[in-house]
Amino acid sequence: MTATGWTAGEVLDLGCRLAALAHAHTALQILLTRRDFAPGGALDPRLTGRRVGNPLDRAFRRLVGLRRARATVVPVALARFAGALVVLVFPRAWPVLLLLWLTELAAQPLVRPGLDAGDEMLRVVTIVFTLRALTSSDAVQVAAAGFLTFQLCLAYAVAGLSKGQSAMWWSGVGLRGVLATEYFGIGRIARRLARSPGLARTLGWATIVGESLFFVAILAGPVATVIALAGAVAFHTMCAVVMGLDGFVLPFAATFPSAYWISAALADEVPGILRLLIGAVLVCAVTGWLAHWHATESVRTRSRS
Amino acid sequence: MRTAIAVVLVGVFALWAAASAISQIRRPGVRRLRRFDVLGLVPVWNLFGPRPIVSDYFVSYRAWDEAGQEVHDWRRLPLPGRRRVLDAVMNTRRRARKAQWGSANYLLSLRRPPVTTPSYLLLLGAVTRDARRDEAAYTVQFRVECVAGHYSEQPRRIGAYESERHLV
Repeated sequence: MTATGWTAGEVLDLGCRLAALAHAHTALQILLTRRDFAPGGALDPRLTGRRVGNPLDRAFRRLVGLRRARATVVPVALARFAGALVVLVFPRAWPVLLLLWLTELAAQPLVRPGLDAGDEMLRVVTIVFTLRALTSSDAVQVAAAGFLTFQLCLAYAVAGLSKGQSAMWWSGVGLRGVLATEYFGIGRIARRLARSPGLARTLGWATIVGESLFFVAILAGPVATVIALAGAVAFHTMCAVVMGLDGFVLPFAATFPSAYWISAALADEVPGILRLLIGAVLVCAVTGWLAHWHATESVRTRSRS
Repeated sequence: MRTAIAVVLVGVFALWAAASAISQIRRPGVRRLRRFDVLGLVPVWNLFGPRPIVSDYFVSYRAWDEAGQEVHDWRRLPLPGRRRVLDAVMNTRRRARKAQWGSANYLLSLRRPPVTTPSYLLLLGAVTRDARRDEAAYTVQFRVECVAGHYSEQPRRIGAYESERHLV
């Protein structure tokens, strides 16, 4: 099956290369910060490993031992970096992709307190790229592209709908608050937003609505999808520059080729009226949810004040 | 054989998608099910929602020499630190900052945290490593401050915790 002149396998190859770059980036980051795993570091495994953790962490603790855990940081990161370079050239080499996933798995207990959603997306895309490389079946390639597109839409929709549950985001206080921290903010931008509550409110609304309704672009067709994906790239880049969230750009971008392809395939295969109907139902559900929470939170805020 | 693999993989993607959607529901029953997700295959996507992080945790420490004289007053650890241009491409402090935030947040959530908790020991370790740069430092005490609106005109101190004194 082809859409826009590309097969699903080819767009997945492109996404896989972006994921490989994300792995190389993460591996390099771990190598550059290996001092954090030393005694006195924020990720000292002798101490972070003593937390209860999940069964994977407990298995790692039994297998490697807390004292030797630090010694695994560099070899695992080097293996991951080397694997990423191979996948950049051979995006369907499933044993190497499997190795990438295993290195990510081995690094998880070590960096557990420092993991974020970028790491989670990278894990998901890596497993999908590994599974789809097991066979050249067209159905599997399309299913993999569809799954990645679904995961992307779900990620944005849940992020938007979740923010919509809080008056902090609707009023702009949340955005101002986040950007006023040293952790996520920049002084100049925080002060600018503090002077313009209207701008903060507008950006808060734009974030909620943009994230919640991202999926509409996929249903609307490839042109709308390109615009939405360009917006997503700008959003992640801005988060990287302003908030220091450098680990989101590449893992999320790895799903973008699939999203574009699925959008084009839907436009080719599914009648416009049906897409419109599905889109309308979903938009009603999302706006209904947002309107409900906006009203609830407004009443709560007013009663508090 | 090829068809069988394809059917299995398509089924795996379908089940995974359903599990991903269901796991976003924040209900105790769903949370309990998440315990079975040992490999972290089902992410939670409520990024910065519903309530975002609007406060920093600053860790400071002071040191005394062997005679009990103060070597220096409160000195802040470098994390989280101001944004650097390179952070957009390679933020080498991202994980350490998140880990330190988590440790400090945990300490402040307890009224009297035991000195043997990993969070306490992690912060003590960070402070001790920094204090060792000063040869005279013999004992240290650290402090965790929770501050909202650090970059605003009126930062607010929400909470603070001071540790015991420990040998460097």
